[in-house]
Amino acid sequence: MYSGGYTGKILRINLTNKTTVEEPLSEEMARDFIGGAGFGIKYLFDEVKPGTDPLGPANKLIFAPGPFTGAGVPSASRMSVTGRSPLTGAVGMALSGGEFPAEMKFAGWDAIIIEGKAEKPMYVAIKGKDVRFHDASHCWGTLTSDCQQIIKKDLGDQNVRVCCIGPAGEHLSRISSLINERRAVGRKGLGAVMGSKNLKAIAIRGTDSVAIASKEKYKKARSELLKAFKESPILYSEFSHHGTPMVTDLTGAMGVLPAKNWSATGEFVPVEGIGRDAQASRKIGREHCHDCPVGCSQLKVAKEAEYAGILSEGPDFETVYSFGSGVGIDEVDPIIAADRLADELGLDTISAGVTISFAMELFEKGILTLEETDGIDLRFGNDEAMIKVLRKIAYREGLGELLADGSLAAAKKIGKRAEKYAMQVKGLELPGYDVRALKGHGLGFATSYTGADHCRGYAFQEVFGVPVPWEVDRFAIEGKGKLTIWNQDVRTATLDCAPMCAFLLDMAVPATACQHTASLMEAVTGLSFTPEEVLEAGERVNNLAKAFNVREGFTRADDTLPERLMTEPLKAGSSKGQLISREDLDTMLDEYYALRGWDVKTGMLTREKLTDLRLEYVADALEL
Amino acid sequence: MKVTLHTILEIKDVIGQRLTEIELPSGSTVDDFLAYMKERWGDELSISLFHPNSVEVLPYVRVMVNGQTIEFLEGRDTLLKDGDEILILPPVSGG
Repeated sequence: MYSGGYTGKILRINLTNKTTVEEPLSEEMARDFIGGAGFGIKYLFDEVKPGTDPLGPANKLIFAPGPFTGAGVPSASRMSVTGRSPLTGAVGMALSGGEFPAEMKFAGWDAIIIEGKAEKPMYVAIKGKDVRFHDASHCWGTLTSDCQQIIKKDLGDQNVRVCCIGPAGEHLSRISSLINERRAVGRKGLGAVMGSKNLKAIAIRGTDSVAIASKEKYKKARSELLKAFKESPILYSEFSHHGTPMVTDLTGAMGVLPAKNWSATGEFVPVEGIGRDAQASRKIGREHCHDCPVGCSQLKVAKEAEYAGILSEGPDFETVYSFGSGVGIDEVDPIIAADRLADELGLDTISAGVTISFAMELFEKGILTLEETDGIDLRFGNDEAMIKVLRKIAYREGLGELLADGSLAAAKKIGKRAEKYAMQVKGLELPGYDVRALKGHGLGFATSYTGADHCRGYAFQEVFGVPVPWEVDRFAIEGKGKLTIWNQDVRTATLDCAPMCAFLLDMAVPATACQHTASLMEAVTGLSFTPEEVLEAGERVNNLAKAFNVREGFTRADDTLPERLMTEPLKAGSSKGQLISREDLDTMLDEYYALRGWDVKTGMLTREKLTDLRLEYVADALEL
Repeated sequence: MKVTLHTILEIKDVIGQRLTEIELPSGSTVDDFLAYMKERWGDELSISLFHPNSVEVLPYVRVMVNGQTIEFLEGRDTLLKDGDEILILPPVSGG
C-alpha cells in the first residue's frame, strides 16, 4: 500500500442535495492510473453514462492533482479537471498550475468529484474535512478576479485558494474556462459545465502536509531532477526570463506560426511586433506556480493608447497566436488586453481567439455581413473589434450568441460552407502550430482524445528539434504513428497523471521523464514503479479515454484535420508548399492504429489490447 | 551567389537582425557558410552557436536549409544554391 504522496481520500460533493461523501483511494487505482488525468478519466468512464448531456446535472467535474502535488517535487504544481466536454462531446480534460492544486492536497483530498446541480448560484468552501455550501447570489455575474476577492473576504481568509468561473461560464459558453488566481483550466468548455451546475466557485484551504514515503530516496530523486533542470541549456538562462512567447520567434522563422485563421501562415509573420522582444518590453515581473523553481509566468503591463496600464499574467505563446497572428494583429498591447479580458470573463483564450478569427475570415469573404456582426467592422487586424466581440461572446449578446459555442457550432448555424473555415478538430479549436509542416504534430491533433489540444501528444521533436527518442524529419509521413504514440503515452503518464509541468520536463529530461517519474513514485508514495510501468499507465489512460469517446459515437472519421490543412499548401515562408493531404493523414492513421493495437480500418479498440492493459471491464462495456 | 541567413533570439541579438543577405562563392556548402559566420561574427557568436575554438555547432542548435534540417539533407556537405534561406535556430521550448 502507498505510504506517502496520496492522502488516501476522495471527496464527493453532491450539489443537488448538499451532501458530501468521503471515499478511500485504493492502491489499485493509484497504481493503474497514478493521479491527475488518470483519476479524472477513470471516474468519467465509470460514472458518466453514455449520452449524458454535458450541461445536465448528470455530468460530473473531477478535480484531481497527483501524488507529487504539494509534496515538494519541482514542477509538480498541477491538477486536472475532467468532465464530458460540452464543446466536443468527447473527454473534456484540462490542466492548470498555480496554488489551488497543492491546497487540495493540504486539505486532504486526492480528488474532488462534483455531482448534481445546485438549485441557486452557490459556492463551496472546503477547509480540510469541513465542507460548506454558500449562497453565491452576490458574486454571480462577477469577473473572476472580483469573485476570488469577494469569496476571500466572505471567508475572512486571504490565503484561501479559489477556482471559479466568470460570466462566460455562467452563460454556458462552450468555450468558457475555470480560473484560479490568474491560471486557467482553459479548454474544452469546462467552465460551462460548472455554470450549468450553478456552481460559481470552489474555495479551498488546508493545513496538512503531504507525507513522503522515503525521505532518503526522495532527497536523491528530487536532487537528480533539480540537477537536470540546472543542466538544461535553456531553462534558467532563457525560459525563466521570457517564458513561452519565445516560441513565436521560432514558429515564425520555421513558417508554422498560423496567421489570419490559417489562411496566411508564412505570409503574415508579425514577430517584431508580438514576439519575444516585444513581449519583454512590457514585462514587470514574473510568477512561480507552487513548487516551481523556474517561474516562467511573465507579468506584463500594456503601454500604448487605450490599453495602457492593463496588467496580465501572460500572454503565453498560445494566446500570442490566438489574439495576435491568428487574428491578424501585429502589436503586443491588444494581446495583453484581450488575454486579461478573457481571463476575467472566463473564456478560453485559444478557442475564443480562433473563433473570432473564423468570424473575421467569414466577414472578409462576405459570408457574414456588417448587419450580422452588429455593425462591427470585423476585418483581420482590427483589435477594437476583437475586444468587442470577446465581451459579446461571454454575455451571448448579438454576434456573441452565434460565436459563444465555438467555431464549429457557429459554422453549422451559418451554413454556406462556413465549416471549411472552422479551424478545429472534434470541435476544439487548433493551437498555434501550422501542422501542414509538422506532420506528427498534425497526427497528434487528429488523434488526441480531447480534439486539437496543445497539451496532448505535443511533437516537440518536430517543433524544437529535440532528437528524443530519435531524430525526426518534420516533413516526413513515415514513422509518425510510432512517434505520436510515444509522445501521447509518455506525456500522459508524466505530465497529465503525475502531473508535472511540460515545459520543465521537455527542457531538462525529455529522454528520461518516465525514469524520473518512476523514481519519484517510489520515493514519494512507496509504490515501486519501473519506467515501463509508468509508460504503461499512460497507455492505459489513453485507451480508456478513447473508450469513452467510442462509447459516445466517435469513429475513425473524427480523427481528422480541417479541410484547409489537407487541400491548401502553405503559400510562403520556410515551409512553403507543405500540407497534409488526405492520403498522408490516412497513411499516418493506419500506422498509428496498427501500433496502438486497434482495428486499422475503423480505429476501434480491441479486446486484446484492453485486456493487456487490465481494462477487460471496458471491453465488456463496449461489447467488444 | 546570394543566400539569406534567417535567425532568432540570442543569435539574432549578436547578428543584429533577423534576415541577413550574404554573398558566397558558387559551390559553397553549409560547412563553408558556417566557417564564414565564425569568421565574420567571431567569438561573440561562439557562445550560442559553436563549441569553443571550433566550428562545430553546439548540439542543441538547429541548422536548416529552406526549412529542412540539414541532418535530413547532406549534413554540412549540403550544397547551397542562389536564393537559399538558411535558418540557424538556437534552443527554444515552451508552447
